[in-house]
Amino acid sequence: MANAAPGRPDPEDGARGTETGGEDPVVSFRDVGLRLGGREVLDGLSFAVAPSETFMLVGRSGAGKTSVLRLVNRLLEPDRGEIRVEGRAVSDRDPIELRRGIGYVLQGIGLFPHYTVARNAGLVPRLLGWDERRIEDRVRELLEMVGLPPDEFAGRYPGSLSGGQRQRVGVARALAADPPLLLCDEPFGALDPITRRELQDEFRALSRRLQKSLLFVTHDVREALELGDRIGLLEDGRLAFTGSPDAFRESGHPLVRAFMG
Amino acid sequence: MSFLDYLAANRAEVLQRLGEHLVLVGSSVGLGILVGVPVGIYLTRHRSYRGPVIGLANIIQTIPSLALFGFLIPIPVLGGIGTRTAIVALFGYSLLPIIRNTYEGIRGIDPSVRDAGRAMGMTDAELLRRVELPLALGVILGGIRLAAVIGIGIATIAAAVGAGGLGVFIFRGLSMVDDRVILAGAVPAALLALAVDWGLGRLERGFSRWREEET
Repeated sequence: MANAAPGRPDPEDGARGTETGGEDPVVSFRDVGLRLGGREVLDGLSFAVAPSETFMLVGRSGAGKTSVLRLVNRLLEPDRGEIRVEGRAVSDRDPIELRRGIGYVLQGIGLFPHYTVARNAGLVPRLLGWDERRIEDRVRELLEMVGLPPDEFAGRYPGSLSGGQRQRVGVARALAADPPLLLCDEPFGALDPITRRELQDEFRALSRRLQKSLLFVTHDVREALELGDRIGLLEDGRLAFTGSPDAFRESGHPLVRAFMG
Repeated sequence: MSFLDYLAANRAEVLQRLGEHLVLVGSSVGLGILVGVPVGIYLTRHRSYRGPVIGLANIIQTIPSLALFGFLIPIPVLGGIGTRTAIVALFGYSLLPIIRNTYEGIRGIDPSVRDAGRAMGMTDAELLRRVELPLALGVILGGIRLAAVIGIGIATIAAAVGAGGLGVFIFRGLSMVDDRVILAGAVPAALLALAVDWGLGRLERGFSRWREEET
C-alpha cells in the first residue's frame, strides 16, 4: 500500500492513497462510487485527509465536489466503497450525531434569518445540549475569533450583516463545538474579491492555529494553491492528480495544466 | 326609526347573534388549523400528494356556500339542522387557504437555510419546529387570517340551516323586506371581519420582527 504523505508529489496516488504517513486519517474514501439521477458522479474515488491537513478538492463545475462533502456527513449515501471519519465507517454511525461532530461551511452560508448572530453561532452546542452559560461563553469566544466583536454583533440578525460578516458567522457556527474536521463548500465563492482575500487569509491563520483538518472544495485554483497542504483534482469521478501546491504548479499533467489556465 | 335605533333596541339579540357567529367561525377555523397545518406540513414532505390534496380543497372552495349547507343537511352525523352542519361547511372552506399557505410558507424558505440545518445535525423535527415553522409563520397566519375573514362572510348564510349567527338578521330582513334588519346583521358582520383582519395582521407582523433588520 502506497503512502500518500501530505505534500508528496505523486500524480498517481489518488487511486491508492488511502493512508497517510502512519497517522490515522481523519477522513478516508476507498473506491467510492456514487450515482445521482442516473449519472455516474463518482467512480472509484479514493483519498485520505491527515490530521490537521488542509486538503483542497478542485475540479470543474458539476465534477461532484459538493457530493464528496455530502458523502462525508451522510447527506448522501454512496453506492459502493467505504468512507471513514476518524477511523470509523460513516455507514455505522448515526447521521445526526455524525453531523454534529463535523463543522460545515457552505457557500450559501444558510444562517437562520430569525436567529441572532449569537444564536446562529451557538446552534450546534445547543443541539448538543450544552448548558446556556457554557454556550454563551463559547459564542463570545467564537465571535472574537472570527473578528466580530460580540458586544456589537451578538444581538444582530443576519439580515443586517454584509456578505463577509455573514460568512464569518458561518465559520463561527462551524467551529462552535470544536470539531476536528471542517467541510468547506466554496465558502468564499460568493464574496467580492477584496473581502474574499481578507477572509481567506484570516481563515488560513485560524485553521492552522486550531489544528483543524479541512476538506475544502473550490473551483478557484488560486485559493487552492494558497490555502492547501495538498490539492486533489477531481475529474471523471476520481482524483486525476493529488499533490502539494508546488507539485500542482509544476505538474505536467494535462488536466492540471488545463486547470492552471 | 333608523338602523342604529333598531340596533340599539335589539342590543341583546345582536350580541347573542354576534356570539353565535364567533363560535361558528372560531370553532371551524380552529378545526381548520388543527387539520390544515399538519396536512400542509405533510405535503412538504410528500410532495406527490400536493396536487390531489390542494385540488380537493380547491373543489370544496368552489361549491356555492348555500348549496354546501343544503347538501350537508341529509347527511347523518356531519349534517342535520343546526350549528354542527354550519361548522362542518365552514371548516371545509377554511382548509384551502390554511393548507396552501402552510405548504407555500415552508417551501418558500431559502433552501440553503434548510440545507445548513440538516448539515449541522438537526433532526427533521428540530428543523420543523425551530426553523421551518417560525420562518413560515407569517405566511401561515396570512392563510388563517384569510380563512377567518372568508368564514365570517360565509357564516351569515349558516342561519339558513338554523345555526344562528348574524345571518339571522339578514334572512329576517329579507323576508320582512326591511333594510334596517338586514343591516343589523350585515354591518356587525363586516365590522367583525375588519377587526379580525386587523388583529391577525398585527399578530402576523409581530411574529416576523426579525425581518425589520433586513437590508
